[in-house]
Amino acid sequence: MTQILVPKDLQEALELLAIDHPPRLLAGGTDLLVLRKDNPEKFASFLVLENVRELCGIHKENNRIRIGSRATHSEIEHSSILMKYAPVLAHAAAEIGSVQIRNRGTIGGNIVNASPAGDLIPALIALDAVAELHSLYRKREIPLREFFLGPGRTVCRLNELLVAIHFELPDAREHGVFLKIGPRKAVACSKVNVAVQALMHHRTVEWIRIALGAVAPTVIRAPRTEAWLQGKRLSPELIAEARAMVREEISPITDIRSTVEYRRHVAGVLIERALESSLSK
Amino acid sequence: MTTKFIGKRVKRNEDPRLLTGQAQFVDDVEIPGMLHAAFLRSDYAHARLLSIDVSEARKRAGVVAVFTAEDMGDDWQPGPPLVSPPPTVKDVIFHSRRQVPLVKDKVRHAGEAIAVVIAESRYIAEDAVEDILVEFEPLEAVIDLEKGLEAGSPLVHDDLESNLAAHLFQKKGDYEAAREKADLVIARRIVVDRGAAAAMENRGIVTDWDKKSQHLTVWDTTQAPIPIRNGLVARLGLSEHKVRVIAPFIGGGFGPKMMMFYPEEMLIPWVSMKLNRPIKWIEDRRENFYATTQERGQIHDVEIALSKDGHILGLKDIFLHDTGAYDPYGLTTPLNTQCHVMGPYDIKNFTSEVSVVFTNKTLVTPVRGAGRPQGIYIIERLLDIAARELGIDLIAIRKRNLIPPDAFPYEHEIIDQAFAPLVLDSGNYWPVMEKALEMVGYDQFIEYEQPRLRAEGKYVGIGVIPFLESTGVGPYEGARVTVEASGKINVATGIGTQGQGHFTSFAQIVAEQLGVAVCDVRIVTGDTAEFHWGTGTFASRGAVVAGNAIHASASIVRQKVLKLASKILKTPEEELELEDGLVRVIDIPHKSISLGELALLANPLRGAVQPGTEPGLEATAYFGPQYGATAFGTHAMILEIDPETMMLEIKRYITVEDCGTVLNPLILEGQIHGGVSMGIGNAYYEKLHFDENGQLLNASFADYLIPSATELPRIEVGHVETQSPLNELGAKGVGEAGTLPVPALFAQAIENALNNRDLEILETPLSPNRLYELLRPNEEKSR
Ligand SMILES: Cc1cc2nc3c(=O)[nH]c(=O)nc-3n(C[C@H](O)[C@H](O)[C@H](O)COP(=O)(O)OP(=O)(O)OC[C@H]3O[C@@H](n4cnc5c(N)ncnc54)[C@H](O)[C@@H]3O)c2cc1C
Repeated sequence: MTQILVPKDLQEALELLAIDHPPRLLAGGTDLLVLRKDNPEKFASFLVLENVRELCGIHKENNRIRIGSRATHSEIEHSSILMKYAPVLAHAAAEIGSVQIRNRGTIGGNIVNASPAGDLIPALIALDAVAELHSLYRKREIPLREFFLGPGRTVCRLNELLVAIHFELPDAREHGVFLKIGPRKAVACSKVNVAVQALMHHRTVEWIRIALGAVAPTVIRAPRTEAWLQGKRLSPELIAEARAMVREEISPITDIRSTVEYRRHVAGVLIERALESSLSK
Repeated sequence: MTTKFIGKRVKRNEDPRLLTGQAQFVDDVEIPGMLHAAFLRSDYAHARLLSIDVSEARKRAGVVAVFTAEDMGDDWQPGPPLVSPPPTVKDVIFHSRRQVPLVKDKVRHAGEAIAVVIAESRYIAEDAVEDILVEFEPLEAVIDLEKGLEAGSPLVHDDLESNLAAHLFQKKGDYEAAREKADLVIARRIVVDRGAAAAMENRGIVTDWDKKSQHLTVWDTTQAPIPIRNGLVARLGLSEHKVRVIAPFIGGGFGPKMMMFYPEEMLIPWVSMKLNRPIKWIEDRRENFYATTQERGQIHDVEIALSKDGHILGLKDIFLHDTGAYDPYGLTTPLNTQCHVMGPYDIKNFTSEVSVVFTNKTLVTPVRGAGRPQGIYIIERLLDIAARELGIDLIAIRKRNLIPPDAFPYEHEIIDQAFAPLVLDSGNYWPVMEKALEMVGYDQFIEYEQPRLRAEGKYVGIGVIPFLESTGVGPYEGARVTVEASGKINVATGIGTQGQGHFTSFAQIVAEQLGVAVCDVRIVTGDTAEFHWGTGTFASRGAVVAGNAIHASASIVRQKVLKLASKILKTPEEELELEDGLVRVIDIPHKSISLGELALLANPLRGAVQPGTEPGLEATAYFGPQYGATAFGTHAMILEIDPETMMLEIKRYITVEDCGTVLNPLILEGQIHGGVSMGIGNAYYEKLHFDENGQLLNASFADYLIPSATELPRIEVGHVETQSPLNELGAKGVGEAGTLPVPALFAQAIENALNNRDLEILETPLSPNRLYELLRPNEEKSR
């Protein structure tokens, strides 16, 4: 028998979570219900976040942008705030699954599901986003870079709830790009995805954040390449070197979706293209 | 021939029902007291079955019965062979090993059924499947075709000396002599891998046994309801009139639903009779990946001999064909490959030798194309290589070798899948190719566009592939056409329907004869209670064989109508016309009688009739072609490929079909669109990944990707009509045509797009990843 709990607000949700074997949080269900199909016995009890208003909305607050964990991919894709300030995230959301999946799937689910190929994660890491976790007894803030432990594993405890994600309001001169390669144009898991957020001044890289998905057990940054690019003036030669450097900074695997060599190659290509698009700005 | 209905873009009669969800599919059948079945299937591809313990499953609340092979007693029998080996070929080896209802001694492919649970609901049945304990002794699996034939390989069937299932040799002329004279001989190994048909609807069966009337009704997602009925009758010892098989609307057949009998098809009716209860089994998608037949795995070592002006002197093809764990479908698929590997070309010297190999994989039976795409892929790849080596244009080398129009009927001197001599009935190939070249703007593209786009850094390539397709094979089909008292026409035929638009194209054939509106012709397919002679829907034969049977019946009814109307209207038959549901005197339109009134008069309640009179306006007729009609077509494509990621986009897609008389262009185009999308899957997306243990690694639609709307181009369809002399309608089949040339087309267009990269493609399916791997050695060399 499956138990379904439907708390009316955040407080009640946190109370229901504050027990020994807490129920599983169910947001859009687009990951969880797929998982449950193979192991129904592992998912005896669900806590449905449908009515928890505190998890909704995309706001500009002070100098930060705050996104409730229940924001759907569709909301993110079409958010005028994100289109204006963080297009890298809006574009990543637009690349997810299909319209139906984007209408149901949430940012919170995408993060906590912690797939190495999750499409929002590189964009959020490139924006240096912070996750806001609540339990009944405390609240903590974890930078997303430190949030993931491995495929499907995060620092979020079973008694905790991801309430929101926030990041500093990007400067109007910043530039962000998200690129993804999947086996098919829609409804396809990424073979490689990359997000780049950078601030350029006359083609010189003031700073840059590079995040890559599906090339390691978790989404990763490319700190060596980032540091190397900093302060340099972008040129086709420089981009070619960055491409080669990124290839070596990642540790992809071969599975039925792709081989190591292809993933390495394509990661380099995507970085090259992301940087080229910065160059054309 | 001027026609009123045939050849017109008539909207489909069946669509309102389908689009509003009113059409009946097998899973829509609900019967009071119905039980549900679930299967325990083997996780191992090859394992000895040591013991099964079903006691816990039987105890579970809601479980009605559990059956294993043991429980079937003497009723446990391998399925009947669907097709017997060719009797007309000398020295053919064929070991018939048929699928079993439930595994008894040894599992031969992953997903093979071991036990069936019957319960009050599918949920309970699935849970009870988990309760069953099985002890296996895992065995090394036979996966690789070549290793499977090596001495010392594990055996799929222990009673055989090797995994060789069949061996067949065919020849025409003298290849070795032709080779001696050749200026160029090209030898290559070309590999084609396996895919799934991936029909939208999985398989399903509902059975209802009525003990009192001793009557069995079976709803089955089969392409061949009549042979299923005949087989059940034989196995279950019932009278033919006591078994009714209904194939209602089916969400795609594509060949695998022509496999007879699937273990479940035998077992579910048997269980229904044992338990005296209605039973439903609906295959789930994972089962479909393991238990529904697949196709295309072949390895060819092939050689072509040419003169320096590009004439093909001879072809030699030695190949291995993967048949999976059993071979109930005989040699149909490899025979089709042999019959298509010469393509539409005039090849005088030919040798072909096939070894069919048993493997520990899901059974192989025809999937849309049925061996033909492999043959076409081989010859077209060889011609592309030959053209390059000889410095001849890709189109010119093909044009030079096409069978000329005056050579028909063209005898190929080998046997076809029906074990009859392969004869191509009719054709005029070059105009079809020419039309495709015009539509795609071939010369313009090569001369101007490609260089211009390349200068912009775009890798755009073109492909043009001609192909032929044997269609409309025998033995026969029949139909009964009846004018009802309402004036509407009822037509019953034996074949089943899986989306081909039979309710419309067949209605058009009848409307043409009887002068009624297409929507006033009701077609019944796939119900043995309505018509019980025939074989099924396969080999692109519905329109040709059933269509001509319907045409023949409707023509007889027309004669009956005219005869009766002539008597009643007191007008000679020649002065009558059938229009708008009436028989009218030409030029005196108010002097008329409706078909409904005539039907009533033809079935009087009182009075004497002449001896020999048949009541009603009804006729049953049959059509069996002398041999299959051969259709022809050409596909052309322009694609752009990202030279780094190998992701591609189709810019233009053109098909020109010559399938003889076009019954309804709308339906024909639908068939082509569906076929092309399947071909695109075969070419660049769909591949089943079996590991060395015979486990299918991508048995879900998350990992086995079929092309979706975002991958499919707009498909432009052109028509040329060369009527077949073999049937009155002049029709040829087209159901598989869309799929056949696509892998060859992709290979050619990709090579053309990347013509600076020294690429030679010798395999299909491809994928971006695979293409990258094929190019990598070249890149490393050039560094
Ligand atoms: C057909 C299909 C296509 C897809 N395509 C893509 C794609 O292209 N790219 C991509 O990245 N993903 C894709 N996905 C995966 C999925 O849609 C996304 O990861 C989605 O964002 C998950 O969100 P959800 O709300 O549905 O999560 P759920 O399934 O509800 O939850 C996922 C996990 O997160 C946990 N969780 C959810 N909310 C919270 C919370 N507030 N606090 C703590 N834990 C929480 C759940 O307990 C669960 O473990 C696809 C899925 C399907 C079925």
